[in-house]
Amino acid sequence: MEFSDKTIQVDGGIIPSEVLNNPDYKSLKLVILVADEALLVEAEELAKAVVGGTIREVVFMKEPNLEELANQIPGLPSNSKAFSLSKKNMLAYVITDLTYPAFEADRAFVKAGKTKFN
Amino acid sequence: MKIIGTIIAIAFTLTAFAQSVKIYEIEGGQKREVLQRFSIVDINSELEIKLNVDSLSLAISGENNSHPELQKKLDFHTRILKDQVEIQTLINTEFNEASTEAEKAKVLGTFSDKVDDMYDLVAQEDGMMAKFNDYMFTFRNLPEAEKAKWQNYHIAWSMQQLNVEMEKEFAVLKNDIAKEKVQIQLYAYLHTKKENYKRVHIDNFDDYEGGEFHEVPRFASSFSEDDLAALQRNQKMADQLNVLVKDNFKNFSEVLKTNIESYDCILAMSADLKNLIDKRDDLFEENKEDIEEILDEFKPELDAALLVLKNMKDFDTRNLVESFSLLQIDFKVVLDSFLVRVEKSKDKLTKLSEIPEIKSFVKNLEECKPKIESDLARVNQIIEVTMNVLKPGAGAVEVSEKIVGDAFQFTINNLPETGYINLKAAGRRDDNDKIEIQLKIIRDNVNPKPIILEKRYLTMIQVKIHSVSNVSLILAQPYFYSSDVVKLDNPFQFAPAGNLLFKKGSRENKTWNFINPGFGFSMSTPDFDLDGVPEVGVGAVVTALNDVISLGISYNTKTDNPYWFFGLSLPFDMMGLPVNTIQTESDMK
Repeated sequence: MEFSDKTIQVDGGIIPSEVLNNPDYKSLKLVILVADEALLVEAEELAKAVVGGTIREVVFMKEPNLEELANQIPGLPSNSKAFSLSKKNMLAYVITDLTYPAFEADRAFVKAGKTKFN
Repeated sequence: MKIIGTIIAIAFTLTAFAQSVKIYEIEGGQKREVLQRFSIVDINSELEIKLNVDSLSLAISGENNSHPELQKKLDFHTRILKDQVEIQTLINTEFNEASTEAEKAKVLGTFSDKVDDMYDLVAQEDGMMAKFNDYMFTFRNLPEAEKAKWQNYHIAWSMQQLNVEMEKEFAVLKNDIAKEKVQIQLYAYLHTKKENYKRVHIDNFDDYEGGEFHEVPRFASSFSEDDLAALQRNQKMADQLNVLVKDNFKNFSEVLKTNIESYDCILAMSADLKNLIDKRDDLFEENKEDIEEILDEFKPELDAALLVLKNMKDFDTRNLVESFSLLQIDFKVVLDSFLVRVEKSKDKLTKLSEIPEIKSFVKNLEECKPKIESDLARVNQIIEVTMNVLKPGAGAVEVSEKIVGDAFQFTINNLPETGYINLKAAGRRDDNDKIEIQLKIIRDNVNPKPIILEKRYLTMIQVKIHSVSNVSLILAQPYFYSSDVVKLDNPFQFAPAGNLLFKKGSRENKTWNFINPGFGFSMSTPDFDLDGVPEVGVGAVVTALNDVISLGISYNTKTDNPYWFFGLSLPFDMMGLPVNTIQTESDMK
């Protein structure tokens, strides 16, 4: 599967700090922990939208370490399949069901943009 | 951008579903929506009434629960799209305009909060999540040029798809309502302190003749004839109050008795009636049955009136306010009933008026009737004020249903979208009077009686700065005076006052309108030197509660001293107060 520059692929178990805290810009992130093609495709499509001048990014973790991720992102449940982070890297929404991947991906981005998280 | 703008206009007509009727105020070339939570309009403005046919369809179907499933679905869709206009506006105008981080954060936050509310609703139903998921999938596969028209984001496009579905569902609903032959009517009524339910013409919805054209004047620069008459009456009232205060209210019952105009004529009629009853066997041979019936009918009414008069005579001055309050209510009930009896017996009395004794009774009755009506009107005014001064608009008023044309009946398919009411053509009205708008339906095939589907009440006030004149009775206390000139025994003196007040209303602040403060000039005529000739005092005054209470400071130009005053302005004048007994220094000696 091919990805555009909207998707950052991560090989390690946790999210690299330069991805979390990019010095050039702040973004809304949808971190995907499962290799679900439908979710990845829809997420990347949705990330093309620049909402209110704010960049959206997809972070695809090929081999996530959920224990270490839970330390990095407090409150992350063990059954997470994807989750979204606000510009301040606050955990905004956790996807556990992939029946409607496009809707779930957009809902995750939207939650990450909410006033209370930014 | 242009396409999105067009779509807003075409598809997003489904806002504000909760209301079938939206009202706008047109005033000075400006148009503003009259929000339900305020519902205050300028008294001289024009109103535009917009009917939302889709909302109306929902309301009609909801009224008899004719389409429960469709109704539920449309209700749900409506809630989902509640904020669609705001979301669209953000996408169209502000997405690309945010430049600073603070602006971006604000736009992002507002947009995300609103869309999240929408998604929370979507997530409540599996089918709706599937629908949005499909919308997004379809959008992703649109040509790039097409997607660019929607800012490369599905949300506006998805909302539009849901609107299109709703339009189809509404078409089904409207078609069914049309088949049910539901007739729709729009009515407007004026409620004033003098009458209720006076119909008001709505352009496009009826052919009533317009009411009297009346533009409520914005500025009063002088006292009206009514004001001047009230000022004179207040002068007399002040004089009498000063006497009553001096006598510690000992003569209040006498004062009441003297000034009830109908007192003497009721006594005379009662005597007439007693005479007729006593001598009926001797006086009447023909029509005896009819005459006895009339005498029997009038006797209890007159006895009750006499009892009220007796109570007035034995008035309990120890508990002045309570006794007066009970008395005025008794007076109203008994004399109202007496007038009804007169009306009911009118035909019979006319028939028998050839009999001299009856003729005399009828003559007394005719003379007494206007006096009773006049007394009743004054008592009614007092009751209205004393009972409702803190609840304006709740007073007893007549119901007026003057039918001077018809309200048109429309079906859902030919209903005009807009109606207009010119308030200036609605007739005589005052601040805080109300306009009521009723949306009614008639289900011809079920029940010919109209059903009110929606009601709106609008309060009319003078919103802009305006001036009014007002007359009050003040209690004045002089200070910095020489006892050679000011010769009052009591620290206070009653006096009449005329005020010219400036005011401003509010379309949003009901408390302000309730307090209705006024600021302005006051002219009063106390008699501090007790020479029987009123002096002239001029000063400043502040009023509240529709000018019922006032507080001010003035300067007596003759006795050359200032005085402060507290005033009351009640819409009754001579009730219970004797005339022509001005207290002077010589009287007191």
